[in-house]
Amino acid sequence: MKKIFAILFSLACVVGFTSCDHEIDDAFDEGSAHRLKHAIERYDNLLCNAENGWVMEYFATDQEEGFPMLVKFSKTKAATFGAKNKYSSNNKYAEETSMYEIIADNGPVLTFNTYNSLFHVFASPEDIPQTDETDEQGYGHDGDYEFVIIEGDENHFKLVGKKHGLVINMQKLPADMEWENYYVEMEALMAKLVSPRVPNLTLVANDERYVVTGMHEGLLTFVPEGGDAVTQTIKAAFILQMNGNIHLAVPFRGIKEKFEVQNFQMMEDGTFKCVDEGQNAYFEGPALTEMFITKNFDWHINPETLTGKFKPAYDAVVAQVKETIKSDFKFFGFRFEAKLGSFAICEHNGRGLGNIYITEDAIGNDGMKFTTEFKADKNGGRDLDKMNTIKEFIQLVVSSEYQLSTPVPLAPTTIKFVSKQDPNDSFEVVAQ
Amino acid sequence: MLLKNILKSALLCCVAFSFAACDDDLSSESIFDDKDEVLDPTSYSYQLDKFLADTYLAEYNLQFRYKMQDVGADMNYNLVPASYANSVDLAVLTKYLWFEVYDVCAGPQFLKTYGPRILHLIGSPAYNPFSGTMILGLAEGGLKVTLFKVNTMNVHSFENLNEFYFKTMHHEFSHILHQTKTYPKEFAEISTSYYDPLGWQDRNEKATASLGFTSNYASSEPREDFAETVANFITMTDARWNQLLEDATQGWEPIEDEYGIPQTDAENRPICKQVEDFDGVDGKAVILQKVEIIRQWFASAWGLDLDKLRAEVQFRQKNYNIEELRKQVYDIPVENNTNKE
Repeated sequence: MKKIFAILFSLACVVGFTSCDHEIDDAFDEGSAHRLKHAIERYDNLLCNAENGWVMEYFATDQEEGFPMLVKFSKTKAATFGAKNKYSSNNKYAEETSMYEIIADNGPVLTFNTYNSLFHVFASPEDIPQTDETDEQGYGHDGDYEFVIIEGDENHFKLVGKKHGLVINMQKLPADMEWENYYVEMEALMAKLVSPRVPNLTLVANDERYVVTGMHEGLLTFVPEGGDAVTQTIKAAFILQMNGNIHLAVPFRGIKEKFEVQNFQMMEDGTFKCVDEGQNAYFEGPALTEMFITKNFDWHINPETLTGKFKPAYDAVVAQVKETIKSDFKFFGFRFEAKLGSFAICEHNGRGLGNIYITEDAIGNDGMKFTTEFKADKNGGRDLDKMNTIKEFIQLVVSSEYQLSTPVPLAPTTIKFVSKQDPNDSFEVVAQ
Repeated sequence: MLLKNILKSALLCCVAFSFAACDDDLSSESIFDDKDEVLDPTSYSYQLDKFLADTYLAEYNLQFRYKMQDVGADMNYNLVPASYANSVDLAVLTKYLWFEVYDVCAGPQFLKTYGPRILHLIGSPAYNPFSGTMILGLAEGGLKVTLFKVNTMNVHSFENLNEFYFKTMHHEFSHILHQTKTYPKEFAEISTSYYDPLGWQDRNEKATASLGFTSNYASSEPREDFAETVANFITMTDARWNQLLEDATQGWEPIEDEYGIPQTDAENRPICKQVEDFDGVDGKAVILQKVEIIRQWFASAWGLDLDKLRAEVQFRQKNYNIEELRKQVYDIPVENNTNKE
């Protein structure tokens, strides 16, 4: 009996002391439910504290162009969206208010839980383009409207679509940025950086080169230089950010998957360089000489940009045209005369266009020189005979070799010509 | 015996000691956040939330869920939430065209006892691309009714309201009723040979009427036949019901083109022409026989007068005023004028 009591007493002590072992430190100050609750409160405060709201860089999928959505959160649980894109608002600026909530789900989840036509159009199941109800596939844009909050502070939130898993970033909108004007400024920025008239860019990543199209459409298409456009095309949605940087929906890894690029920073010279750690990649526009001698554009000399000897030579033309034929001289330009298969310097004397044929010789990617025997069409020949200043101006143009440059490397629709013989002599041409 | 008692006592002591020794860590604060249970008068959705709490939760213990969480729906579908404005409309219409109907016909206790516990609104349809169909409603285990396509609701057309919502509600509630008390076996035996669970959606509705069904979906299986017969009988106007019975007395045959291919309508169903009734089924008699079984079952199992229920629905769907009904929500006082009508 004594043995039994001894055993039981020992057992009781062991159980008692074991259950009271307080030696293990808590990994967190609070329990998981409290931490989640406090995280939700913190994120909600951060969202609402952005007085002018946020730019949500929204991608429905990585294969469809991304759109910036403006969204402002209120403590009343109202979320007001602003949008200007073809799906939300038929490319007109619009605002609409619905509701949001941060719920305790797989961690804090931001959900827009009542319908907002500007935003939920990307999650709606109706086919794009629209089809009959019996043909509906039920996917639509395949976008998310619930997002797991990965991280957030007063300037930036990183979200992940709960259903489809795409990363969506939100950047705080400056307090003084008027919402509708945001889209005006972004359109202007996009137009300044890229042009639909310059469809082909190049991505240089390490020793690989890709022909890139679609920059002005929000969806990049990469094809390896010399590759097969059918089998080797890779698409990547992107968004242009307020600071001019480019953010791809998912990293582009190339055909060989030897690099991984997603974020490009706009440099001072207008080029885009990858800023992802350990990556050496950049976008480059077409060679200026190639751009200039393309037969797709006429180029007009901008008289406001004439310097050095070009300025008085041009003024003399204007004066002589006025005096001789009582007309206002319009422009000098460069164009390809398809009928003769020849390039020409063209001049418009205010009454008609004349062509003086020239040869254009590219020197590398950014050098150019011209030659001419002053052969011309009927109008050009008459003007050369009647007005010596026109011939003198053309003679000046063809007497130099030029160094070419552009302020917009990805969309070189403006090219500056600087004489190599006398750098004081220069002019700019603008694609028409 | 003594040894056993000692052991038992000792074990109890151990257990008691181990628990007692650890109670100093318990916090008085609940880990569950119950702040959502208190309505915030400054909330954007306060008016609707207040109406739902007073009308549905307090009266029927029913959660009327219009704020969508996708975990509450089938994640295999791409779905979007209902709009706030349409949720208001459907909330007041549901009260008028469904709950008050049963209150009048069966007494206020009926839906409190047998009504669903959750009504879930979804803005978009749920498409089934392989069958070319879409889901309009779901009743899950008698507890939850899910209604789809709320964002395209036309509140000014009771036919539209019936097609997408109230016929669906009556249909789904019929499932809840027969899942609670089984409907008579004889109902399922009437049309045994004519059900087509896989191809019902490709059947012409005049042809299915001729076989004794109130819709082509009713021809899919007996339990859907039961729910469709209830819902159609209650919600169809006299003119539509009589037209259904008239169609059911005729024979119908698909129209074929010169190559023998059946002509189809916009919903891909065959277009039929009237012919001599060759199917050997008196469709009208079958439909009326099914209605009679339901009438008897409603009376015996539930004490419900099916014809009174139909008359009440018919009256209400012809006489509702959406502007007046909305006032129940939008006239609720708010702070900071956050109402959104």
